[in-house]
Amino acid sequence: MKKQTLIIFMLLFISSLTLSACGVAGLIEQPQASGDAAAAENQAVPEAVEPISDEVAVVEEQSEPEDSPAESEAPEDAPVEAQAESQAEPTPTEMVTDVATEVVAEDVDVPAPTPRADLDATPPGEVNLASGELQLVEFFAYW
Amino acid sequence: MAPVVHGLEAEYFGQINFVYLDIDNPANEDFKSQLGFRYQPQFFLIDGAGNILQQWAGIVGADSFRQTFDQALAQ
Repeated sequence: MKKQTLIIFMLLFISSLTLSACGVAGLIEQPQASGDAAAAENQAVPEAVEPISDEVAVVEEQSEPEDSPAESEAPEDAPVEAQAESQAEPTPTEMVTDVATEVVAEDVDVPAPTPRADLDATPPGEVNLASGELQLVEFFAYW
Repeated sequence: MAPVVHGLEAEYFGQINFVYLDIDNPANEDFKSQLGFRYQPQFFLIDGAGNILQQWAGIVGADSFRQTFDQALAQ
């Protein structure tokens, strides 16, 4: 009997220890979890507020994160800043035109105004290879 | 090639006679055999007696033509 009671007490003691340990751990973890959630919310708010102006960010910090008015104002302010930046920097079209003009200026290789705008053949009857003067003969095709 | 050659024709007007022969015209077969035509575009610089001084084939830059023209005119 003594052994059985001893074993029972030991089991009860161990079970009480485990229960108390779980209870303490649960009490400790709950505040951390809630703190993590709050920290996550605090971190999420500044990320969403980044493109917004300073005044709007202050309003969001005071109010709850679920407040939608501040978020709804964000898209209205952001395009204004984007327009200001786009006015300061040269537009892509301007840059492209600059490059294009430079390339054209480099590639221009003489072609002076030509007396023959279209490619037309010299009549064979008028050709004399020994004409007494320098000649450049070009063999070409229309295709 | 035609625009470059035409530009040179204007540049050397009165000094060099430019002749354009259509390779598909049967009447030009004699010229093709005399000058040794192989494929178009092909260019021949010939002197007053019909001798070939220089020849080019394919894509040729204007400077290459000019250099040869100036040498031939200087002689």
